[in-house]
Amino acid sequence: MTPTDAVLAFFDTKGGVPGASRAEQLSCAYLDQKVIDSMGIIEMVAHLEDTLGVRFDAEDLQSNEFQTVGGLIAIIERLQTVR
Amino acid sequence: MNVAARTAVGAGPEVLEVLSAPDDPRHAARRFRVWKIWRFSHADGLLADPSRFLRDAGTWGDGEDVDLPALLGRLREQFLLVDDVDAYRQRFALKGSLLDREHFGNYHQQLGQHFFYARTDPTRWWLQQKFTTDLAEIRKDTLYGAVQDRFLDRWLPSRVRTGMRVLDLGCGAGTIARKMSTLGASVVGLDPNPEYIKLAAERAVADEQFAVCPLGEPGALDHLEAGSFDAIYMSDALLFYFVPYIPGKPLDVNAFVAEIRRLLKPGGLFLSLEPHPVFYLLPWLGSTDRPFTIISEYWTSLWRINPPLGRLCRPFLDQGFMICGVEEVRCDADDPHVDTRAARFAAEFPLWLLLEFRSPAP
Repeated sequence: MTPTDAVLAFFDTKGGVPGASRAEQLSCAYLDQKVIDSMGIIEMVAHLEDTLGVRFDAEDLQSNEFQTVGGLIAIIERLQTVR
Repeated sequence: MNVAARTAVGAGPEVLEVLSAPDDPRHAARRFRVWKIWRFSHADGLLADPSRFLRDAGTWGDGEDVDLPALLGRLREQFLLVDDVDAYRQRFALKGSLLDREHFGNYHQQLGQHFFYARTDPTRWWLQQKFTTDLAEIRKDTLYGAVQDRFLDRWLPSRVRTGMRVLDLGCGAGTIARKMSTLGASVVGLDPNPEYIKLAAERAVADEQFAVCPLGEPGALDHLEAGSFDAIYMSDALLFYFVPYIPGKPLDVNAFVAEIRRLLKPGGLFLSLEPHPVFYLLPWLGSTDRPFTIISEYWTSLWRINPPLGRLCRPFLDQGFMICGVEEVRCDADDPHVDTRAARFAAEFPLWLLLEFRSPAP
């Protein structure tokens, strides 16, 4: 499963990422737009780490990148490349 | 130090000249030495030194040799230099989410964010703050033991007697319930955590009954008979009825107090041991022998996680309760089990407040 598929599949379980196009979905700030709440972030991190075999570090979690769907996918792809 | 924002920078007195006149061109050619001394010291423990800076300058290292722009950057990062006062003041608000770094949030939010970034299990951390590893006793080596536990051992015998029926709300693993049953009371302990209740039941030493109960949810106490308790005890939990653990999900304190009144016998006591409305989590400043602190808010409860005294008492007074006891619970200045600075601070500034509310006659 690709990072994109995994991330979008997770958000689908929460009602899906808003956006008429993929580009719009990737730019979605999922917290600001209330796709998930704070408890959901914790669940999301655990789920993505288990599913994709990566581990986010503090710098990833604190980055602005982490706060959008596309940024989150980019971080995961980077982590998978390093692994 | 910015006491309101709980931030700090290590710097020499020359930096004060820059702070007093940051645009003075004479500073442009100067070099400065600064140290990164801020740390989220609360992670060391709920009642560890809450001052958020490396107190021992011997641990600071060599610091950084910086020019003026870099110095100003360090000062701005720690809010010791503020360019846009309005924007700065807007930071003093609850965080919008776990990832919100624009707003300071309150203590619980800051702690939760820190645990998220540090990948620390908050449930395990919270358990370790008050209790021994097996949850059997209150830890002696923290201010919980030095202040709260010692107080309860001294004070409970004056209130809890043989034959009394006591309800312990939020009883956890039964630590306080056991103290009360040992004094001869018949104790009912309720807690939403089934693991704690299981432990409490296993460790009961006298007349104690425990049950899982979704405290905080409407109707949680409906199954208990009216007028059936001489006293109801609650510690470190009433605060959530005033400053909810999850912002935006408030609990109904007036409904809770009505239930307390329903459950108590006429003239019965609600015994409330809560973090002190003024001094809980305030920074430890000054020397060990002459501590002082600075209060940056009292009525507002933006940073704090407990209500001011007036707000705490109001729901009880409105429903006819009388305040019949007050204790500002302090530490013994020479308690041998805790850090000297902690003991001396808590000897001067009470960290818990005991209030006794007597239920009105019918």
